[in-house]
Amino acid sequence: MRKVKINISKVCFIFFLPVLLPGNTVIAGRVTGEKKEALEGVNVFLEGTLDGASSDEEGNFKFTTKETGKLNLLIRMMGYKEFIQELFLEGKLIRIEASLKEETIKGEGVTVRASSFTTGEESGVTLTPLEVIMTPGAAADVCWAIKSFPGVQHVEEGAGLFVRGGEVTETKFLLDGANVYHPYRYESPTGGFFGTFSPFLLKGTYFSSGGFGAEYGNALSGVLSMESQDLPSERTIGLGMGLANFSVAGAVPLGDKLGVNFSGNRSNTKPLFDFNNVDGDFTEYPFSYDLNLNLAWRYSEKGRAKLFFFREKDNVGVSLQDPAWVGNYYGTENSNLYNLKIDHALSDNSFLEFNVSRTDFGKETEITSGDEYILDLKETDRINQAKILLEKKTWMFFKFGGSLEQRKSYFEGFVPSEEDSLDPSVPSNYYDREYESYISSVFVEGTSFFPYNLSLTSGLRFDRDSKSEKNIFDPRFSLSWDAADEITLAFATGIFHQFYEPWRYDPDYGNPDLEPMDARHYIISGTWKNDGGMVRVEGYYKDYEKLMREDDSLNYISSGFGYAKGVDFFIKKNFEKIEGRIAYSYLKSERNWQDYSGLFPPDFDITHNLSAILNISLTSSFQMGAKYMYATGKPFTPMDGDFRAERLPSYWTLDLSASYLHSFFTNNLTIFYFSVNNVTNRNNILGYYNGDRDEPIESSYGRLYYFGVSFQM
Amino acid sequence: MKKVLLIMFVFIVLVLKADDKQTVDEHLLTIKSAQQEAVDEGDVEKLKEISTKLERLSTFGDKEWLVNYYLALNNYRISTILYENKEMSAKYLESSKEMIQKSIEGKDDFADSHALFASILGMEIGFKPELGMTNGMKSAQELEKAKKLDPENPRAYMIEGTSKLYTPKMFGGGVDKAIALFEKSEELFLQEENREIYPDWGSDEIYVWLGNAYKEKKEDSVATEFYKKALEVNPDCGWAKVLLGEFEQGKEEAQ
Repeated sequence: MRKVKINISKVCFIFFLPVLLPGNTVIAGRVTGEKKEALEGVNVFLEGTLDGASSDEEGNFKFTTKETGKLNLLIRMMGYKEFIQELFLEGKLIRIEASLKEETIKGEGVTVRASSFTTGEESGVTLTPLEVIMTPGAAADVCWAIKSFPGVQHVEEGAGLFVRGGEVTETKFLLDGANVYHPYRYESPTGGFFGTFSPFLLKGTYFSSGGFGAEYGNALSGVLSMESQDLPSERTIGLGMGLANFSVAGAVPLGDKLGVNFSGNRSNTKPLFDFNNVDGDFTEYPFSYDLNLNLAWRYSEKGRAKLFFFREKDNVGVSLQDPAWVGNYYGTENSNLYNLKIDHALSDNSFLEFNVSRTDFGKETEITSGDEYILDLKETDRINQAKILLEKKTWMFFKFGGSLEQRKSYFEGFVPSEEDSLDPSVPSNYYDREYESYISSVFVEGTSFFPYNLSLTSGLRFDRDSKSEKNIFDPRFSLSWDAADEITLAFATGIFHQFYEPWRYDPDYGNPDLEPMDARHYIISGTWKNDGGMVRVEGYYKDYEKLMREDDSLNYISSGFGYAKGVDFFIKKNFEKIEGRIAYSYLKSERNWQDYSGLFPPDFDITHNLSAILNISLTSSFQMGAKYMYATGKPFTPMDGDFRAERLPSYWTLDLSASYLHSFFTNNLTIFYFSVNNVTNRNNILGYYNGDRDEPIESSYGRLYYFGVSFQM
Repeated sequence: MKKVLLIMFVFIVLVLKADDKQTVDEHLLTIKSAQQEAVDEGDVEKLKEISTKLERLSTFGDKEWLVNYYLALNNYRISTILYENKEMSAKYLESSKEMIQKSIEGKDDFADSHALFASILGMEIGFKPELGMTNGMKSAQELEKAKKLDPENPRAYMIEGTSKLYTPKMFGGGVDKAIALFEKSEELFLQEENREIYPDWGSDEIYVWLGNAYKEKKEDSVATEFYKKALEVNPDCGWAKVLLGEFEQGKEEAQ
């Protein structure tokens, strides 16, 4: 009997265990998206059971379960990454706050082109506008941020984009489809110190370091195409204040069809240089301001119009200290851009883009030595442009477009009679010339999709400029193959032309018979990309012809040539709280141009170029970043050595930045930021006077501290 | 007495447990009929509920590939019902494609999965015309696989027929080719036995497709007969009801 009794209680106990032990566990909570918006209809359940609930309109859910012990809670929604959390169920209430991340859209039918990077909202993004701002050492400048990409060589301390063994003028800039001829502030022969447009005005950026489509003409090496902000959805206002700048920016929707984005920026570098004890030899500290007004109008379901106005002005004065003479440089520039752009959907699959733009640019440059003017030049540049683009998406993506551009340049003043020589002993010429030129272009491009995930883009472009009177045909091809789920191989080739500035055709100072410069690109590329990161390796060869050479009797002739070849490597990886990217470029480039008497490496032949960036989110509101940049020194001609036989010491810097986000009240975002550029106080050598190693030109920028605050509501 | 008590308890517990823990097979049987019902009614909300349940069922660790097949089919159904709402429809189709690929990954010798995949690829061209060439070829390959794995599968022939119906004659399609395939499919449907947890949908739809093909040939009376036949096989077939209704309305207007 006794035996049975024990058995019964044991058996009862074992069988009743699942029924008696647990109290029901209640699991309740809320599911939101990345922007804290409520997600409805999300499937929330315990793995391996049917216990669960779907979230309601506010994203709330609640369900009970009899399960006990450790179980995974799964939260699933189409188009979002799965959320998993291990729970311990013991009959108590469990609260869950889940934020789902959107999945990157796969297979959108968009071709991957060799050599291109996009920033902004498009899929396949490699850099978001916020990342431009968060790039350490990039001074919130689009060009500086682009310089941390592969294929862009560090040649000067500035914004100039030297792409794959190409000169700085070989990269073309566009804003909302309009050609931008003066893309840099504080213009110099190597570009300028900053980009003209602040990232805050932009929605996205497309950058290509070669092999770009037939849509882009008159560029030998690279394209940077920027797009301005769209119709604002809510009213915002922001103030920014830093050691060197003050800015206001805002957006005002006027009904749901009209809206204005505006901004104003004033930058005065004096406090920055004073704070950091930088001498910089400034007679006038770099000063600039810009104003922007962007009116967006959705005139119907099918179309929108954007009127963009931008004004920028800057000036700078520096004392020049050549061992042979002492002088002063003063430069001031102003630039106005007006652009009207219309995007119109003609049907479900055809789109029309149209824009008219006008640029007015003025510049004054003075170089004096004592009371004597070495250079005193006034320059105005006016560009009027109209462009049309038709896109049709059927079994083939089809693009057809054309543009007409008028450019009027005017120069007046005294210029040294020898180019590149500022020696006061060289006599000056008086110069008073106006040039007018027209460029007309037509292009057609089609992308077809084939089995085995192959796609082929073929394009043909025609340009004619009134100065050279040459008709140019540029065929371009790009082949892309999705070899596996996350791997794309691409090949691109084509012919690229670029016209000279109108004044180079001047019969007295230039040569009316100059021919357009010519480059052929051959690019092969492999990209591996998944949700967490990407790796891209590209090899390229560029063949240059018809480059400009100096000539004693004809001033210039088109018999120069050269090549550039190299390998670019890019890796980007995101971990939970760490984002890192490394860009490395190997380049070998030689040219026979200008006054060279054979094939020699030009200034922008930078053999190794490395840029490594790390951003760490220490908490949700505190972020730190670091950037290390290394570049082989530029070639130069030593005083007692062969032509361009040696190189400057290598250039490198380490930059650090930190930002702290805080919300003082609802809808407020305040960012405090702090950065140190050139942390190690490295003394970089930028050149030698007359090739004399005892007379180095040193960088003015040692360790540089910067801080500021940005306030948005 | 104690023995009786013990047996009672054990019985109660077992019943409770059984109710609590239905097997995946049992769930699938319930879901299959609920799915057919929701399709007949064209009820998207019900179909969405079924997707939710299937998603949970896919984590049970048993017959995941088959659960994923039904999930793909379910989302495919939602996509076709929502076809006018391009954005939503494309989203469900995308998810359907993902699920059928997952199902094939789990078991790649199941004819019905390849047939459904072929159908999804075909429908995708409607949203992304640029995929025409690629998907057209892939879809044909999937159908070949399906027919090779199960030469008696009526759904493979039905799907091949729909593809021919919408492909112009010059590209190898056409109504007559479609009808031949539909007839072959009808024959196989008549031979198909109870498939229990495995898919057996389409024995009513095949008549709707035959009707559609004859409608294309402007033989309206034959088309009507086939729609009625669909209703004989499944009196709740919503699609046949709608098409018959359109005919009746057309007649009235003509009068």
